[in-house]
Amino acid sequence: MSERVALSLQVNGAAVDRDVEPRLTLADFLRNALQLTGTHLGCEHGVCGACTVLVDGEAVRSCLLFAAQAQGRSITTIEGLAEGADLHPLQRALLERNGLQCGFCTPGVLMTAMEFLDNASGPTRDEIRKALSGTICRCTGYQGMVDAIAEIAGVDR
Amino acid sequence: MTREQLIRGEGRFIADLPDADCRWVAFVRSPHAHARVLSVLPPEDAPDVMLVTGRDLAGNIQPLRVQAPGLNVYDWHLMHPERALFVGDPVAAVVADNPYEAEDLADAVRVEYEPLPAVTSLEAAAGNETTIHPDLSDNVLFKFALNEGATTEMFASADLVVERTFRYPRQTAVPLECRGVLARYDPREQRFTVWTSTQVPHYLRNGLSQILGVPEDDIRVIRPDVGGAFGLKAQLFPEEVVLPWLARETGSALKWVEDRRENLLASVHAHEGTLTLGAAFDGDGSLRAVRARAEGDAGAHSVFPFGAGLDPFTTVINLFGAYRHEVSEVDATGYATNKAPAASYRGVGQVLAVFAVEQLLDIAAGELGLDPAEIRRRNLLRTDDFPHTTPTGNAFDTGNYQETLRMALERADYDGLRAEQKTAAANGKRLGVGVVAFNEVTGVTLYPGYDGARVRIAPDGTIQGFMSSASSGQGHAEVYGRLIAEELGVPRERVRIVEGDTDLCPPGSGTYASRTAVTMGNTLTLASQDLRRKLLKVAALMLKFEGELSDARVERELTIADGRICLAEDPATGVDFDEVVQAAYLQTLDFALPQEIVEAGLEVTRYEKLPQNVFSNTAIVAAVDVDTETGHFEIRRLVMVGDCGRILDRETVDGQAIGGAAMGIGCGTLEQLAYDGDGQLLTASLMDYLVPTAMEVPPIEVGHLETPSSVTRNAAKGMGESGTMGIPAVLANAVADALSAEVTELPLSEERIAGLAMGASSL
Repeated sequence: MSERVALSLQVNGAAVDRDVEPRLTLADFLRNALQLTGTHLGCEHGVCGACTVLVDGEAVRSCLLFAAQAQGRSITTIEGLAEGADLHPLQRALLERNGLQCGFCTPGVLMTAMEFLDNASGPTRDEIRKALSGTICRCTGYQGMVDAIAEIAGVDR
Repeated sequence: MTREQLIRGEGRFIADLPDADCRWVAFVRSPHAHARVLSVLPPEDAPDVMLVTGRDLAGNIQPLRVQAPGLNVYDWHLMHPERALFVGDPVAAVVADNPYEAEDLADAVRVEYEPLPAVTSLEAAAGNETTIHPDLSDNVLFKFALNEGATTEMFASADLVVERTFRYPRQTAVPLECRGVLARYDPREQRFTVWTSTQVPHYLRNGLSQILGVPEDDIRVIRPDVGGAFGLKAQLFPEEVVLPWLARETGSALKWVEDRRENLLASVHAHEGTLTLGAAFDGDGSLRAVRARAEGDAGAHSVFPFGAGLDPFTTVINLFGAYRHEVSEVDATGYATNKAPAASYRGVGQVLAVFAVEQLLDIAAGELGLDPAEIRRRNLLRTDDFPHTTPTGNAFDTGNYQETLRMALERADYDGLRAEQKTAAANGKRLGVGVVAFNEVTGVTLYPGYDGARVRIAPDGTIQGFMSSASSGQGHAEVYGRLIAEELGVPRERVRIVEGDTDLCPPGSGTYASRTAVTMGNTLTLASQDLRRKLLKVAALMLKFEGELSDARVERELTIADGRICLAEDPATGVDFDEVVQAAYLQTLDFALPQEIVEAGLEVTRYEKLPQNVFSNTAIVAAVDVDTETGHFEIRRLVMVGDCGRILDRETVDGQAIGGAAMGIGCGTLEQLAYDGDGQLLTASLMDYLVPTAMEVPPIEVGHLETPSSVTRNAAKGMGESGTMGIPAVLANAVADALSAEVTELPLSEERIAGLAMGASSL
């Protein structure tokens, strides 16, 4: 596995150029090459959603994508969400609504919700639940997450 | 990590720990449920790979002999030198420069197996045609019996006897973070440091010490942030032994991170068992006697530290605990099978106990023409029954079980639901209502069940609390920090909490069985109070108190507020908190602490084990709409009222209640590990082992009652598993009610419900 491919992409707004093994997953590239360990791996077969990042604004499972497939793309990870000391409003809402416990699924939930909120207008709570259904949380029972997303989406009930 | 750090993605889970100098380990796992390992050879194209087998380990590490009451002791080889005992059982490990290469190499290791007959069911284990452990010819890992013959007479003379056999599926906790280990060995210090995703750092150190044959002090176990555990990470695993051993042998730091397939295949399973439960009633529905026989499928091993009795023992000891009865006779067996070892998963044993008891009560109510709520009201313990000891020896301090039930029924509008049910039935719809009421054993005092807390005020006034517990996402630090700050009268921000490091924290049990609020909380209170009194005594000396400085006197005459320690009756007279701290460390020029009265320093370590387990209690009402054609059901209402004594932190309690209930929805409706007859696991991915998503978890309504514990110093009772143990039962009762059927097996799959519906409609 000595063959390597040149990779250029944007990660959280910064240009990144690296040579990578063709079989390196995007998740491992972010976590190991770039030390962006906020993207977590819960199943490595595309079910749990913990590794979700935004690729050109679209929520994608980084365990199912090779790093090389992200050539020329713009990636946003959990580390790109807060602006310095200021949490993103969705992060703040999740904290206030008891929407996390162990924090392992949280980055994937946030990135999933970011894409949803970008595209949804006046969603119902059922639609919020559906949007979250690709991210597994074993701690919270999802209630605080639904409340937080509803708050940001301006949903009353 | 704080919640804010976690939400920024700044958590430090095991996979995130710096590993630039680490080599990686991958495990070669048996594809056979039971086989003789004839040979293990390195890959053809990598003959020099670092490869370690069970045989290599056998001469170098000790087998573990797990001991606890009722366990049949045998030699547990963490990696067996000659045999593989379940699919996924590690038979060798390889070391490589990165995880990709390690996995390639593990795949290419050449193992020759001679398959042996596999034991894959309780029936086969009891039939003992095949023996799994040479020392245990009957495949019995655990045996317990109590009050044999004690109920015969009462069952013979009862007005009504109801008896059924219930089956509970094999399940596993699926923490979203899998396991992982990073091990280093320092040859100069001759010390191991083992970072591992665990709930029980001190137990682990103890087990490692026995296996590696080195003193406990030569091992430091550190638990990084843990991404959920739910019981799965409360035991010692082979990988936690192999990595430190190999780190010493190879001179390299080593890392291994479990993948999900390994986690489902070869971590630990839980819950599987059968229970034959009988109850004898008077004609008015009063419960008189209980008899039960539980058989648990413990898998291949009795794992350290709790052993193979965990589920079946916990099941039988807690049957009908919340209900009055005079006598019970129980029997529990844990059988070895060629499956992954069974250990803990939230709701240990009680998931089966509550399911069986509550369904049996509904069956009895039907026989007697009583409403399900009424048969519970007639039998639930009443306030004047407390303190109460059950026929199996469980002691309860306080409780208001009747009120908990009343609150749940009222909040769910039980009578309204029954009226809706009639309307629905008139329209050909099946609305079912379920009611359950039970208690939860917490703060378990077995094995050995103590906790340790060290609280320290540093010379600069910063405060640290070192705890034997180990959070896996429950938010311990927030609550501990607040409890210490309240006791010492300082702002919360001054207090830092350290957990999960055996070099820094006092030994203790760790975190499992909903014990933290009660046992750790109790010990923490003791240590904080001692430290507070010491501070007060130093302040009293600075304020020139005359006479004896008893605890009671300083507590009475002094208060801590707004950064000062002052006279209770004259707040203007006092000394600065920080000056008192400096005086305690002999750093003040104008005051010399008389050390014959108060010893210098501000650090207190206390250990305590509660005199008895502590029981919280819960009542749940569920309403479900069942589609008899498809077997699908929707949860219309789910109301859960719990009484965990004094609530230390409302947000944490709500989080545990709702999160535990969501897990209960999984246990009751989706989660099932399926093996085929050859012992192959058919559910080794999250596409096959299903856990609830946001679509399956409805809004859960939670209510609270606070009946203080008289056993714990903080008046709290543990909680955190009641949702998981009660939801499968209440959903089973609701579905059974909708179909006028009996539910004796879980999970409530659509297939099972459709089958029940067909049976019910043909009646």
